[in-house]
Amino acid sequence: MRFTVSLQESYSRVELLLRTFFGWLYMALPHGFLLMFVGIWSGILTFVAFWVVLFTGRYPQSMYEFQVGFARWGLRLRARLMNLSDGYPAFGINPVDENVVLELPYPEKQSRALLLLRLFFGWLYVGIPHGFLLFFRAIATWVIMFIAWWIVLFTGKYPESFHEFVTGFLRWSTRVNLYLLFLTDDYPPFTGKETEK
Amino acid sequence: MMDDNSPYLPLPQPDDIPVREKEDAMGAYLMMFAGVAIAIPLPLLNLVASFVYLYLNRQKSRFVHFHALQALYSQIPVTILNMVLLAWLIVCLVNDFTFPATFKGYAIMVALVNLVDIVFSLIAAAKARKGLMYYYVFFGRLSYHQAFSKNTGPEKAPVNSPPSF
Amino acid sequence: MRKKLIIEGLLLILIFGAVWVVFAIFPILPHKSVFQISKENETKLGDLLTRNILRTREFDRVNNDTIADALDQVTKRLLPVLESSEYRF
Repeated sequence: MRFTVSLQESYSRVELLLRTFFGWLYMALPHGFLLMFVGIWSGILTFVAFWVVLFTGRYPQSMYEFQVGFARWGLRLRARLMNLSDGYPAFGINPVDENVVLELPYPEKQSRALLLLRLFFGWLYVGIPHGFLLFFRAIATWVIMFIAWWIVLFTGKYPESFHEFVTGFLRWSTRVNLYLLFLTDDYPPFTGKETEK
Repeated sequence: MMDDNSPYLPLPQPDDIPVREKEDAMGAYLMMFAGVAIAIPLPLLNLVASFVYLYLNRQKSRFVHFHALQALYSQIPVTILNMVLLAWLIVCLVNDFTFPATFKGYAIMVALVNLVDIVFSLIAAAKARKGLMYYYVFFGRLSYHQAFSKNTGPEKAPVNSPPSF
Repeated sequence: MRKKLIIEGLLLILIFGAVWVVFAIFPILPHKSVFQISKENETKLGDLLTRNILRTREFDRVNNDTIADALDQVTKRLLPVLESSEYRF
């Protein structure tokens, strides 16, 4: 999996203020509303795909691409709401966003044993350890985001290390989600850093 | 073998169908479990999911279109029967839990219909995954007609014409 | 094609209609009369009551949860169907 959010040379202060005070209205609400329905469809496809993988060892490619598109949509929105990127996130499963990139290669074969292991014990060997660490990472992320907000407001620039830290939180949580949703057999590493070159 | 005068297009053979299309065709039959998937076992949800699946996949290929149509059409009577059962059950519960013999007979019939639907859907899903055309009684013929007929309607007279000079 | 479609459609309706009629006429779970209690259950209840009375020597009151539950069930089933008593003065 490869997830990157481009660090812009400069960030718009107007957009920052607009997102902070009205982002819930013009961004979160419309996207959230649509994502809710698309999320229901994603849930149905996850259920269906689980049984297909269990019996055939292969995630249906169309469904896989839909799920990845859905994940991309959510990440596009989150990147804007977390002030990692300017601009309005595009609606839909298929749009290409140059600033927020999620690449997940399609697995030709998936392990059925791992599938069952994740279903019955995913909460234990993934949910608990990653959840525990992500909880503290989330707190730190919120603090960094708060500081970064002021820096962007006064300088128009987002510190690179801060940007990387916040992006790392998104990357880590995305990896965990993708693993638990049977989209990848690679156990998520305990880091927010990019591991794939 | 189809002749040129047949009103239907030739059927694709399993080797000619890409794996992706076979998987898409299989997926159509699995939409009947949509209600279970989101833990809201309302009969209408399965029908809506089948319809959405058809809508999203109708342009892909005639093979996928056929299976999506068959899955949807077979889901319609099952949904109607289930909804009638649900409504009737509520009426019986409201009337001091009295269940007449006709209701009991209907409930058993609906249970059998659902069982038959599940069994044949799973068989059809497996066949579709192998690239095979599997025809239900009644619904198979209907879906085949819709998915594979040649579009040979009467030629329409042109409506648009260039401006007069 | 249309003819075969109609025939197959009617066939489906007939088959499942027949299933409905058959199970409506011959119910799988026959309705039990509330006045019916099997001889075995009646004997069991009687034996339980006798044993309790002989053990406790109490003839006014039964302090046994099992017997109380059993009699509760019988009462619940009988009360809705018993008509109110008519007294002729």
